[in-house]
Amino acid sequence: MSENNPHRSTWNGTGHRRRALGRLLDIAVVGAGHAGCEAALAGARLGLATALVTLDRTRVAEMSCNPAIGGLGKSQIVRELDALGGEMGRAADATAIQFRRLNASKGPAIRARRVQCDQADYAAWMRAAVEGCPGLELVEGHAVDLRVGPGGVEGVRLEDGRELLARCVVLTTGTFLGGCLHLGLECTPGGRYGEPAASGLTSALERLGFATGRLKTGTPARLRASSVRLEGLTPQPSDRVVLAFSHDHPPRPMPPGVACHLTRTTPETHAIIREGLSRSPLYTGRIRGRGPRYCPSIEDKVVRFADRDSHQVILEPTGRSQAVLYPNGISTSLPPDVQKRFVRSIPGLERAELIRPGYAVEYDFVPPTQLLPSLEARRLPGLFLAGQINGTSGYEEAAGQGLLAGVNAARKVRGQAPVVLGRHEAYLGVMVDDLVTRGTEEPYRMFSSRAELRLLLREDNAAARLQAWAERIGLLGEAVRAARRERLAQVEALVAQLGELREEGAPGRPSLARVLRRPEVRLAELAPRLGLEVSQDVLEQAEVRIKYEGYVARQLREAEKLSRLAGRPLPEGLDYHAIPGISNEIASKLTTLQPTSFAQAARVDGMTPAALMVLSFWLDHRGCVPRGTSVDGGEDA
Amino acid sequence: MILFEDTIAARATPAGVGAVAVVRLSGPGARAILEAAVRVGPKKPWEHPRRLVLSQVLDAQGRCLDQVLACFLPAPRTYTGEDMVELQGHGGEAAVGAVLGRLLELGARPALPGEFTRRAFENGRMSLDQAEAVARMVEAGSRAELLGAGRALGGELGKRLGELQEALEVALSEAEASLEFPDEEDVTRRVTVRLAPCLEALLTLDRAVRRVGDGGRPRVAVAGRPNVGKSSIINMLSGTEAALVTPQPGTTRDAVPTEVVMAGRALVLVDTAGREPEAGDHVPAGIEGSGPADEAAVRRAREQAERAELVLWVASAEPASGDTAAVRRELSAGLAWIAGLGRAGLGVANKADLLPAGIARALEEELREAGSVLLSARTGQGAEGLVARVAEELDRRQGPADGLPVSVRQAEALRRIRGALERGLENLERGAVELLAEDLREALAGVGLVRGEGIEPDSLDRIFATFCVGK
Repeated sequence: MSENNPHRSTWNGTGHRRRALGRLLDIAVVGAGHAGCEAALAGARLGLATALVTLDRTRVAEMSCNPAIGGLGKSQIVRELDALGGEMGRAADATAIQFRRLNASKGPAIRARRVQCDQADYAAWMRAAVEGCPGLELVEGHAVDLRVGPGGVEGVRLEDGRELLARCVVLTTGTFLGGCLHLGLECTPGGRYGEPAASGLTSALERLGFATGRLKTGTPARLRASSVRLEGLTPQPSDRVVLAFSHDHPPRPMPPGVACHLTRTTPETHAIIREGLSRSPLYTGRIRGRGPRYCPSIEDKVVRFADRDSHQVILEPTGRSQAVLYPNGISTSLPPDVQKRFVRSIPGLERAELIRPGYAVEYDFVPPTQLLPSLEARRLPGLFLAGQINGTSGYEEAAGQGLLAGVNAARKVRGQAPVVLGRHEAYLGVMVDDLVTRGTEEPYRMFSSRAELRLLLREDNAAARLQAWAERIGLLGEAVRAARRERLAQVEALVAQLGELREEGAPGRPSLARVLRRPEVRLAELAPRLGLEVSQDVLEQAEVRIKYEGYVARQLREAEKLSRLAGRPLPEGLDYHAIPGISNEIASKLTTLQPTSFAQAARVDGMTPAALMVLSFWLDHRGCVPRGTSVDGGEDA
Repeated sequence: MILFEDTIAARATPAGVGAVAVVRLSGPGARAILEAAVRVGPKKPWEHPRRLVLSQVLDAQGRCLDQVLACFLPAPRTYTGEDMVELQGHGGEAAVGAVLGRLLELGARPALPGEFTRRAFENGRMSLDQAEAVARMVEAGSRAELLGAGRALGGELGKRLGELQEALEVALSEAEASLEFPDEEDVTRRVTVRLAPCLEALLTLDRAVRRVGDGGRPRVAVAGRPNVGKSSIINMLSGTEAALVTPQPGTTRDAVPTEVVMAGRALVLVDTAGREPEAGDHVPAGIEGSGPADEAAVRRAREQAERAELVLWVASAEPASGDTAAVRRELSAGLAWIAGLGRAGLGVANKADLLPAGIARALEEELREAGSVLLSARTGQGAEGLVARVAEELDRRQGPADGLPVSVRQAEALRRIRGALERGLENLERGAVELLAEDLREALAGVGLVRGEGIEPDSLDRIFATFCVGK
């Protein structure tokens, strides 16, 4: 690793490590992937006795698929995570080997950071963070059951008979729960290539009344870099300056040398794939779980877009040493011999050695409509779920939920109200709200178009948007908070100053803020002339804010309308079947989901304006029925 | 799906004596009320749905109130989507009142205005644009308008809106794809967001609609100084003596609305008193020194003009014998006053019969160039020209008479769509695709407003169906 790990100094613990087993923990986290690490770190850093259970302590924070962090919608999540005190941004900054700013030529709201990380460095960084965190114990074991008492969850049972007693349990099981790896027509239990699956928890959850489902995802083969001929392929070099994910890291130059390379499939590739379809688990009906449409396997692309005779493949280095390449674009579950043949039909890969084949993994998930907006299970107090178990996909999505679940578990232990971010505040808020209200049919990935207020939910203003929450949550140290407050104050001051300043001091001229609203005017060009001395990051925030002012104001008005509607509460325990005029299908969904507000009900799949009207009409005339009383009882009263 | 628990009843035919009157029932209790209300022979209407069955409506004591043809229409294939009953009885007030009264006694509730159609909408039997078309159909005052409303009821407005929505959603998905998948070659190759089909669909729609004012029929106010023949023009156009005409200037003190059909368009002509005098104006004789009643009348005239879709400014052509410019001056002064009120105006020079033929021809020519009309309300000369000009002005402002009728609310939403698309074009030109996406969403929200429903475009679904994206 290129930097010293700061955790030991930042988290100045007493060094006193209490044993997790045999005593009462505050929080037990099951699964040490991206969600689990954030959850455990958040819980422990908030001062709670936390254990992180993993099958293999050498595989903490593994990047199971491609070595990238960020991308549209996702980079905003990492920035939000960092604004609230999460770890992913710092880890990605420290281990980045290639950086690109996506949509750089487009509007600032849809620009996004994306880094390629050294996978081994990333995992090592995260493991060090976990191991160096006071109050956090990493426990190796296989969780197979939950211990449940009258008040809710009481802990986790391990396969070897040990028990972890905990006030709250966070499940972040990734693809391990009932995991099944498909490689051609062969299917072997496993959570990841070469790693066993986790069993038991699914049936434990089902016994407790949880509905569960199956999802599928996939990954391509890994190639030995020395067997690949990169000459002649189009390089995709790193941007020269890396913009850090963390608000506390300044931009820095990226040493050259690591690039991605572009190549493409050929008609021959497609012919080989078509021939192999008879041995594809996807096309022979062996895979039942639904896969992500945004991440189709190459066989899917070949079949669905039959008119295309070529698809792009991006060769991404997975580490600083560049020994292994990740061929982005050819995820597959075809048998290894077919994989080898089709890979070798791609220019540059004629002699490629497959270090390991691609595969598809099917795994259990718990449809997230069974969760409260705090990510706590409705039917089992104290149980929190985060990451792929909630039907999401992606490191960033998992980490974001992990942080929220860890924070909310800690708050529950302390008797504090949970943190629930609004759709107008953060992509994290959009994601959680989507999950708990709508659920998901395929692995859920963040897209910027999922956010109604996309122009407001930007990378540049994540800290500003979430400052109040960050203060309330309390994960950030005082020094960090002070530095961030200072930068936000600078932005405010600069925006105010630009509203006053006029070019060349001419009093009759429009203010600089007004001038800046013209798309062709850039603050970076004005700033030196004006003698403004602020950091790039402050400059950018002020500029973007001014440029989007009009649109954002309109979006905020819409958001206000939404929150006014959202403000109308829906009584708990309502039997929607008792309301005439709501179709059985919608009534069933609403009764199961028990939305707490109109806004939430409005987003339920299949909800119609007419049904909302009927619901509002019905409530107007019957009044809100308090919890526990039946609808009829309410009417009689 | 039962949306409403109660059963409503109302008379479906207009008040007054007629040969036959129809009373309707709708709701879950319609059949039970019918069974309780009538005495029937061996053939029972509820056993023979959609047939007319001779029945007697009885009062609580079993006495016959009226002999009716009863028709039972079972849900869901009815106008409201609920069980319905139609009773065709004798058209006397007493008979209808008694039958309706009996139905109410048996548990029906009097329907509110428009409630049958509202139920049809809420039960999903028709979309809001169709429900509005029903109102327009009832209101239609001419054959052309009826045809337009009929086309809207048949779903043509919905179809046109669907075309616009489709075009907008395609453009939105292209815009979104280029933002969400900046690395994907499939997307970047198609990044040109095609707005032309959206604009085309909007234009087609704009041309196909007739914008109906809040009051329903467009009002055409006839204004001018006293004694220029405003009332005579209205009488000529309506073919009646609706307005009181005397040679005495200032006879008309109150605005009198007259319904007429002109060029296939039902409209309301409003007679006004001579217009309000203003400072610096030549005060017309007849108003000068008159009492408070006259002042109130001219104030009302101004109000009428402000409410009208089109204001005719009538001047006397008589001074043209000396100087045709005097007539043109008077017309342009009047039209300026109308423009000042923010209304559309049309100049009319009346009393052409008082001019020598040569001067009349010259004046007519001059006026035509200015868009005004020369007329003689007394002889009817020039009437066709006036009707044509009125129709032309209303077409321009409201759309064709047989257009798909849209309400003020819907017309406002159409304007909103246009505004959003214009902004979108600008944003596209400067490469601000993220703002273009906002504009397209705004336009789609506008389509939803016209339809009376929310539209939540799932651009992701469309992207995955159209583009080969993903790692």
